[in-house]
Amino acid sequence: MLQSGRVSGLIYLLIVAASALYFIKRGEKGNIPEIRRVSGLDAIEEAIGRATEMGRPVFCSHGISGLSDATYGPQTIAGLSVLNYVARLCARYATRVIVPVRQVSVYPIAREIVETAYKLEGKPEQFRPEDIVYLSGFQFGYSLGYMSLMERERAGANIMVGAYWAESLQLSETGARVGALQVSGTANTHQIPFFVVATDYTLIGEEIYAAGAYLSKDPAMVGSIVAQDIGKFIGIALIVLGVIVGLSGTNYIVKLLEM
Amino acid sequence: MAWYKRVEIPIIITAICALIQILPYYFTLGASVEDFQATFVNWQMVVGTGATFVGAIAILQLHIPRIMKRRPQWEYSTALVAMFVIMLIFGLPIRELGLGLDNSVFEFLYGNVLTPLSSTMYSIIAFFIASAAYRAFRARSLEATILLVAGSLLLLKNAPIGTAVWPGFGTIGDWLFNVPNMSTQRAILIGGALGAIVLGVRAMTGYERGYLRGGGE
Repeated sequence: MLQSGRVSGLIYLLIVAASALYFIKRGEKGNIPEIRRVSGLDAIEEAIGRATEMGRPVFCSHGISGLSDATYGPQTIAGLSVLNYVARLCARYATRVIVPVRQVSVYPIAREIVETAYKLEGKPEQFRPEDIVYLSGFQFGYSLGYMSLMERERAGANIMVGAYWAESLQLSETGARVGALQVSGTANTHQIPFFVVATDYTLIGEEIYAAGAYLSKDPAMVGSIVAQDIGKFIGIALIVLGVIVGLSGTNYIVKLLEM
Repeated sequence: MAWYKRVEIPIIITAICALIQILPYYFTLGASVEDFQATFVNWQMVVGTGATFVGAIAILQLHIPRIMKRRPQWEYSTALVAMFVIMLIFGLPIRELGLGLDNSVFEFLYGNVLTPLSSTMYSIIAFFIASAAYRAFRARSLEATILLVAGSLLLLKNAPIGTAVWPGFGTIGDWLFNVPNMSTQRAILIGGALGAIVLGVRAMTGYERGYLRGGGE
C-alpha cells in the first residue's frame, strides 16, 4: 500500500501538517505566538508610502512561474498573497500599482486580485486594467518588457516575491538604477545572492511562504508559522542524531530515513 | 451571492486537486487512480493551453488602443502587433497551406529574430553582474567584508590565473563552495520546503486566501 522509500517522508509531512493545523486552531482561540519581525515585509508599506510621496507607481510582480509546478507554484501563490496586500495599500493611498505578468494562467488571477482590492477600498473607478500587463511568455521578453516599463514609468517601489531565474538581476539592477525602493524574495537559492546585493530588502526562502500569514496578521495564519519551526527542530535533531550515530559506526538513521 | 461565486468553490477544487497529486506519491492506489491522476494532468495542460488565448487577447487589448490613440512610443506597439500577427499566421498548424512550425518564414523569424534577441538579453546579465558586484563588494560592514573576501577567493579559484599563481586558491575555493555555501543552501532549501508544506496546508484548508480574489473577502 505504502510506496517503498517514502514512509519517513510521509511521517514527516504528517507531523508538520498536523502541527500547522494544531497551531491554526490555537491561533483561532487567541493563542497567538510571538514571531520575529521580518524587515523585508515590514518595509513594503514604507516602500509604497515612499512611492506615493514621490508620485511614482509601485511595481509588484509574483515571479515567472505558473501555479501548477510542485516546486515553484507555491512561490507564485506566496507572491500573489503579497500582491493582494500591496494592491490594498496602493488602493488606499491612491497610488498606481503596475503588475508585470509572464504566465497567462496567472494573468486573470492577478487582475482579479488588484481589481477587487480597489473595490474593497471603495475606489473601483481608480482601477486601471491596463496596469496589469501581460508582457511575454518568453523569459527574456518578459524581463525586457519589465525593465523598460520600470524605466518609462520611473518606478518608485519594486516588490518582487516569487520564483525568479536569470532575470532576477536584470530586474533588480534596473530597479536600483531608477531609484526604486526594492523588496525582493524567492526560494530559488541560486537567485538569492543577486537579490541580496541589488535590492534593499530580501526575503529568503521560507520567509516568502510566511508572507501571506505575516501580512494578514490573522491569528490562525500566524499560528501556522510555528509548524515550520517544529519541522526545523525535527530536522536539526535528525541531523545531530545522524552525526552521532554515524560517528559510532552505524547507519541506523540513514536506514530509518530510507524506509 | 450566487453559489458559483462563493470563495469556497476554488478552495475545495484546490484541496481535491492537491490530494489527487499527493496521495499516489505516497500510496500504491492501483491503476485506475493512476489513470485518473494522468487524466488530471492532461486537463491541466488543456486548461493551460486554453489560457494562451487570454495572453494573446491581453497583449492586443494593451497595444491596439496605444496605436490607435498614438500614445507615446506607439511605434513599438505597431512592431509588436505586426510580429504577433505574422508569427501567428505562419505558425498555424495547416500543413496543406505550407504553414506550421517548419514554415520557412516562421523558422526564419524564430531563428534570426527571437533566438538572437533572447540570447542578447541573457548575455547582458554579465554587465549587470559587474555593476551589482561593484555595489556589493564595498566592505562597509562585516557581512559585506566576508562577501568580498569569499567572492574574491572564488574568483581566483575559477579564473585560470588564480590557480596558476597559487594552487591553494583551488583548494580554498572548493572548500568555500562545498562546505559553507552548500550547507547554507541546504538550510535554505529545508526551510523553503517546510514553508511550502505549511502554505499548502493553509491553502487546502482555506486559511490562505491572499491568492484569491480580494483575499477571499
